[in-house]
Amino acid sequence: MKHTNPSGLSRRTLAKAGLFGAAAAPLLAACGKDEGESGELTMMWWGSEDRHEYTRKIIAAFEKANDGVSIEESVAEWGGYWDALNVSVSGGNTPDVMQHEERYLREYAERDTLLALDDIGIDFSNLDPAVLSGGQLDGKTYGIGTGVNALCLLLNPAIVEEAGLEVPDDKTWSWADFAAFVTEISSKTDKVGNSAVSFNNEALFNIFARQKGESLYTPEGALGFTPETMTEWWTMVTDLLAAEAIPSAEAIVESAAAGKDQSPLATGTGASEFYWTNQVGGLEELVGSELLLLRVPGETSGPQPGLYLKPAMFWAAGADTNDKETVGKLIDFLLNSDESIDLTLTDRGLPANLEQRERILPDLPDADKRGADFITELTPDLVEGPPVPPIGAGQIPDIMLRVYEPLLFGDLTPETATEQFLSEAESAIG
Amino acid sequence: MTDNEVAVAPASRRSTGAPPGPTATSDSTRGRRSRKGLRKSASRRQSWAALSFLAPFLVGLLVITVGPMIASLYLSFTDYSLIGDANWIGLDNYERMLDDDRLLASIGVTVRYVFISVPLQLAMALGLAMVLDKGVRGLPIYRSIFYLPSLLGGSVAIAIMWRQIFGTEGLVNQVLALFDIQGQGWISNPDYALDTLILLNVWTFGSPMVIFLAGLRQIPAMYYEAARVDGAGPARRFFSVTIPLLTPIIFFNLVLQIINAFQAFTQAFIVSGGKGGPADSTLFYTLYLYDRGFTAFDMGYASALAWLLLLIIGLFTALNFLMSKFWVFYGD
Repeated sequence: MKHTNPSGLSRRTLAKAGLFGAAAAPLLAACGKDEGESGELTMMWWGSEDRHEYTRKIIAAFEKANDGVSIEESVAEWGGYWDALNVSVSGGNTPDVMQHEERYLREYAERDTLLALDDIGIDFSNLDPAVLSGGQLDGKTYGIGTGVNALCLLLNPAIVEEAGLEVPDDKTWSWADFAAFVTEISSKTDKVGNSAVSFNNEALFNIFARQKGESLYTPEGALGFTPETMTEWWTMVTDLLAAEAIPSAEAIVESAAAGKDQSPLATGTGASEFYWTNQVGGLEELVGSELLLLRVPGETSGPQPGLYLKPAMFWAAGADTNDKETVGKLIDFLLNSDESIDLTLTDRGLPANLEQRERILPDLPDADKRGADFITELTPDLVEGPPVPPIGAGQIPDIMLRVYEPLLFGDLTPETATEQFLSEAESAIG
Repeated sequence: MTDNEVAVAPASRRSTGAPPGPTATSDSTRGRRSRKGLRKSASRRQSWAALSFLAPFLVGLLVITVGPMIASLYLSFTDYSLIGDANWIGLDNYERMLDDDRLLASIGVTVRYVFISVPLQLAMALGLAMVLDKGVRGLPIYRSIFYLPSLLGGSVAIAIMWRQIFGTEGLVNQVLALFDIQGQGWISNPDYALDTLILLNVWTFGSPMVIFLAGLRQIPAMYYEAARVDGAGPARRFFSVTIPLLTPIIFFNLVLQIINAFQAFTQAFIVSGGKGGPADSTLFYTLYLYDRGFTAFDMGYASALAWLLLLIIGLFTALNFLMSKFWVFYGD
């Protein structure tokens, strides 16, 4: 599997650049961008091999429908995407159209590297207004959500049965119920109750904070939760660890590093884990059997529900593109055309285009359909989603991981983990 | 013209270049000047030829090394974010280093790595060089085999393999299981993760070994014979003949390997999944620098870090040279 590296630099070269000068990038900038002909666009996205394949088909359909347009792709996997993108942008080679993510959207938009998408011919009329607002900053649209996902707890019913337990009522269960449930599974089977590769996921913690009427970030871009809330969160983790409801610290670190595909749930040695709804199909393929989608615990325990629909990813455009018209056409095609949606289905979330969403619902593969139904059923119970994350939000996952690992190994207590998180997070988003 | 004449020519020229004697006429000075002119244009031609042969290297040096270094020095005084403009902020980046706990942690990790892995690696290299120097049959083959890790050790593939070998279900634990020992997740446990990387570096002992081997060959056999006649045993011969005569080579290897070890990047990047984890236990200096520059949008700070690294390496190298006066024996 070979990916085109959009920067044209290998990681080792980059490393050396970092080491011997940290400055190859501006030099490359001097070499500059060759003035592309209009109609020649570059497009960059991350994803799996499957996504690459169908996206190429969409591009081919678009090129066929638009004479004289040619699109050059550069693809990466998630991990390498952001390093590659910022080097490309820094080198003056901002892709004309790119996949973006909420954690980085503000970072790029506020540095004037993204094009406002409002007046370049994209049809907004069928797009879900809630999704649209997720990509808007100061009244301008810098990213358009491709679709929405919700976080859910995937549960392997076979293991629940093996433990002789009932599937809990996910509409009313609390975090304490969840802890008791996964602990019982661990004690009654040789499997673990939960894989524990998600407690460092800031989106999951955000749900926990929102259930208490707080939030990960405030609209002003500061941290929006009390230290007590986070300490309570970490205490739950250490309690689960002590009760052996989750794997050992080493096993968690190892499976987290190996990717979610290697989590105990995926390998059939764990009963549950939190995933986004567009990952259900992939997980079921790995497990080899059907999984249940449960709501995140605690939705009815506090003043408000915490779950929300997250824009799976955004389409965004480079500010220095020299063919805004074609960029607008391409993004419009990606979001609104039958060809594009028929190929994408729910891989980029349940489509933002409501008409298209209705249209494809009946024909979705089973797992995707259950994901879609889960979202549909959930939607009436939700409150307003969280604001666009502040600049520096891209560093939050690393900071979470940096306190989560020592917490598991007992080098931090829940209190000191919270303390360290707050100080590092504040300096990152300050 | 023979080689000899070429070699002699400059010397004779220098002697005739002495102040002119009383017999020197204006003619002869003119003649000398024109000859000088000729020589000048010839040497100019030659220096052009030299330059054009050097060009590929010089262009590389200027464009890939010196240019970026100058740019980096400038950027270290700015708030360059990689995707925005660079604004001059004076010494702020350097001041920030003073209370950067992760920087301190990364220096700690790197220094531990350098000071444990380099001595072990050199001891290993010297030991094997001694064995091979005894005149093993098929020496070139052994030499190549032992040298191989040096070529491969920095590669991504080996780092990935290392990850597998030291994983919870990896080769190491499978072997330990044969002896009823319950192994660890060597790489996923912060107490051992750095040790696996140290081991990886020690394993790449091949290149200092080859240099040691060459050094050992240079020691005249008569010293050993003389020592033997005086009744010195193998240990005595090793410490009184081999080591002293090898000190310049040891010094050379030490300087080189310390510089290399400070710049270690690939192995830690791959083994730790690019984050220096678990729990920052493998956060090498270079990894932290990369993290700041390429993922935290803090390239100005990363540039300053690069210069600090240069200073640190320079300091250690200078110390090394200073201390060499006390233990390196050049045999004259």
